[in-house]
Amino acid sequence: MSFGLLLNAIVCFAIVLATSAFAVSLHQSKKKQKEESLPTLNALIIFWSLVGMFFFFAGLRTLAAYGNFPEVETSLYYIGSVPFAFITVSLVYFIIYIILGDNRVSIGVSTVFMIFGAIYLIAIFGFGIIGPYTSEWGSTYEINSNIAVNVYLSGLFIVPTSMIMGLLLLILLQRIPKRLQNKIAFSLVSISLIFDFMLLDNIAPSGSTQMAARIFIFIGVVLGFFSYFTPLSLDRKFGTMEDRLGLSQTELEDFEGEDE
Amino acid sequence: MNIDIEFEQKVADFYQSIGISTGPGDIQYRLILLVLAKNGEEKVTRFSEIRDYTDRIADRGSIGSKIKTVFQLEGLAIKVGHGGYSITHKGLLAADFIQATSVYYKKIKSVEQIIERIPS
Repeated sequence: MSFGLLLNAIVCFAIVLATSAFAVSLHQSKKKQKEESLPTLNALIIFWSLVGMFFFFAGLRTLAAYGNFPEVETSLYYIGSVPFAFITVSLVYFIIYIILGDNRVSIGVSTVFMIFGAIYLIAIFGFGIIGPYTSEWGSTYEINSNIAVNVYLSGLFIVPTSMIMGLLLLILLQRIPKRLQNKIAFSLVSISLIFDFMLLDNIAPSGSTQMAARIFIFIGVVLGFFSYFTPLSLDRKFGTMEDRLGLSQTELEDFEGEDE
Repeated sequence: MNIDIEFEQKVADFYQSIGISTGPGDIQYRLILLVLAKNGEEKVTRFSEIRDYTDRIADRGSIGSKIKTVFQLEGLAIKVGHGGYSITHKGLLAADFIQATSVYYKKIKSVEQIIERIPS
């Protein structure tokens, strides 16, 4: 089989590595977080873990396609559908909790999306899938149910993506420190990027489209990681005026009481 | 119109923290104005009623002085009889402004809370 499939699997495992590193780093940063941000941090860890889990099975599935094991491939597609269906739940909790700060409301709204996910899974398992269609760059499936596709597009993607965009707009319109604004914006853009390309990945008509989508997902994960754990050199470059001028509060206090 | 002394204190503290120590940042000014505005132009506000709100944060003398040197002098309130005050149209404008500063404070705090809930 082709080298493209192997490369596709490598990209999948690179995503798994990056998301795992991200989830572990977020978990390790728990002690540094404020109490108010712990629920959203947990939701974010679950989100990245589910993305990683999905691509773990996607990578295995692509390897199965490379080795020409269609039955194994189909089984792995079904297994991978489970984390995929519930990615939205953690994301919706994350957004609603940030905006409202109410745990009960956030759980309530994310439960609705859990139901959407369950309907999607029931439709997938009930009506089945058609495929695999293996090409040089990837292996795709066709979902044999309009219900599943509609639930998937409307419930699992359009609404959460709109929520991310709304939150992004809300943050960008506020007067908050530039560094914090950049950090939050990059983080949300990366989530949105991953989310949208996962949609494309799952309904990709061809292997090459799937491969391209996965490369963008990898870029999105790396972007998300750097938005939270920015390297020092970049942090200085986009730092505050205080960093750029090299002035500290103590130094500014030295000017107090001086005559003009 | 309910006057929450603790909330007004927080709002005043916020404005003081950004360098505005008079007007919105002055808790005495806020409370006196809000009590006067609560009763409106038609009703006379007794000094004792103002003190019901201000006793926790300032003594009688400084409140009396504030009414005289700021409210009466600037025409925000007029004295009616012995120990009574009535808010003027200008005073109602000032009260509207003070209420707008509370709305702005709430907006700033809600954004701050949103930011705090985002993992950093």
